[in-house]
Amino acid sequence: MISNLITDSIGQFVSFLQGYLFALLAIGLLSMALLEALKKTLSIRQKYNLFHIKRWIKYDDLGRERFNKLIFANDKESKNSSEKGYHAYEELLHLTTGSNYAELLKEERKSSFFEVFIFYSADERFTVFSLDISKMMGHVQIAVDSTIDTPHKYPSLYSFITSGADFSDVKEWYQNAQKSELDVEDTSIAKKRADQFMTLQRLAKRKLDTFQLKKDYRWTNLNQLYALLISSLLMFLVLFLVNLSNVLNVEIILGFLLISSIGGIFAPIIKDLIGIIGNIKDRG
Amino acid sequence: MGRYKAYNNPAYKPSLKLYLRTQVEGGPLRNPGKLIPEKNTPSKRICVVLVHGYNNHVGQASKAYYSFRAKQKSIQKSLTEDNLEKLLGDTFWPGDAKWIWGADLLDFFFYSKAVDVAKKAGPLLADLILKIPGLLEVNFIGHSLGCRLILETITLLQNRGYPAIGKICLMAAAVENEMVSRGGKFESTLLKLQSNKSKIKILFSSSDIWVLGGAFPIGQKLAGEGNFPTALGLKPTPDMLGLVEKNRIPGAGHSDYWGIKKNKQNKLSAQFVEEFFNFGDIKRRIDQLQIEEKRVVAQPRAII
Repeated sequence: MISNLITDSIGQFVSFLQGYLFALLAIGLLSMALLEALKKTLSIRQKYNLFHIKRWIKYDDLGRERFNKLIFANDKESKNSSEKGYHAYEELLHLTTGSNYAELLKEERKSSFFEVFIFYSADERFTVFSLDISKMMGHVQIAVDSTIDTPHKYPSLYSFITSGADFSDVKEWYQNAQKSELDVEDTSIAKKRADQFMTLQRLAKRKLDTFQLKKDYRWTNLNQLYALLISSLLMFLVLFLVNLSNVLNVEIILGFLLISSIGGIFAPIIKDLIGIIGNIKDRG
Repeated sequence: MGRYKAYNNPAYKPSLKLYLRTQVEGGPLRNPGKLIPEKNTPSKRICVVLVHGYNNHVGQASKAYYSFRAKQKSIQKSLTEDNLEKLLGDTFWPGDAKWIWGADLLDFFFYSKAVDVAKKAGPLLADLILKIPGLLEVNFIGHSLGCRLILETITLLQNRGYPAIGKICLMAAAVENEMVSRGGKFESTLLKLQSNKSKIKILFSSSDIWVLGGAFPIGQKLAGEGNFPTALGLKPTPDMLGLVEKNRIPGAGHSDYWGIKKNKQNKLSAQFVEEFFNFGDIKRRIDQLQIEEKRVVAQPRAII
């Protein structure tokens, strides 16, 4: 008799919990759908990726300028290139999107967070930056490989991606990249060049790894944060609207805020929770 | 009666075979070789030529090539069969012997002969590659003695001046370290590759003690090549010429590269190859590739 009573009580509690959780699930799903819709329609990923790539490259300006002065001081071709105003960012965009420099210079002018995120609409030329970060970085990797293969063509990007490496390696590879190994009389010189190339490539790879890890981590965290905020907001609105006919005072509204905050935390993971509770009920 | 066993997997349908055999097991080189299919040979602008190693009959080579495809598709979900297949060309060469049943252990004694076969197969494979319709760039993935065949072939292709040599991946290479260093047999080949920015990926394992650690030095000595030399695929020399990227496959045995076995070494090998060639989707992975082994921190100290 007592065991039946306990089983019934558990069943009732689980049923109540399921109902409550289903409401949370609906909110969770709605908030996820809203978040995805916002990301798509406002091209948030493209803006996020472009903004962070630009910041990444700008952040290294001091190193880049130092290298520019040292490497390209006596180099006519590179001087012309910097007079035209090509920046590592434009060279990277050129290599990843194929857009011409004149178009890209317009992009260069957009620099603040406000300009990029509010006024800038999605650009089909930059679709590569709408891909998820690992795919986008695959294209960036190819661009960086081309830069190290032919540093004379992309001097700014070359100096950016190799900043931090041994200066003599950077300078010598820049000067010798186009020379044929077959003209070298001493094989040890060819070997040294190969080592320089591989050293620079390894450094570039590590730089890309670090950037990719950081941005991937940040993107995931931002997604979770916004999912939580939207879920909380939706739950608060629902509670408010449902209780509109009742008397609402500060305590009740604060209670709504508390419930919706807790609901917001659980909403994204509620699907799994319902599955677990369903299993408990089935066993009962 | 040899050890031959056909590989009857209907899913293995290579678009192109570069066939240098007269028999499915052992036998002399086919001269000239043939492309299969002979009629309506598919046109390939870029071809990745797969080359099996020593002591593989047709069945074993087919299994290795099929496993390679399956592994690539399993780690790159968006890679379609067509996308991968249109790039690949499977080489079959007689780097094996046909013995009477039960005498398989004698295969070891065929190694010195197989080195000679690899050298002779080089010009024939180069000729076949030149016959691939529309070919502009050739890349290579080889295993064991197949790596030696690849280097021999590249040397000849460079002399012809076309097609362009792209990337080369040498897995468990049964090639002497001295041959790829200064003054070695492939010095000029590697310098030409370096001039053209062709990159070389070396997958190696110091755990390959039976084949590359044991049989290789003796086999090379018997073949009259070096004095018990060290294999590139066992412990690659830092003096190797060219734009070389080396990756160790911890704990890999000699047959842990094509993806035949389901272990972490085969998976890691496939990931390195995929990262190097970028088959299918262009994607950067940083998880397993750079972090080959986890760091183990010292045991906790016990206070007595």
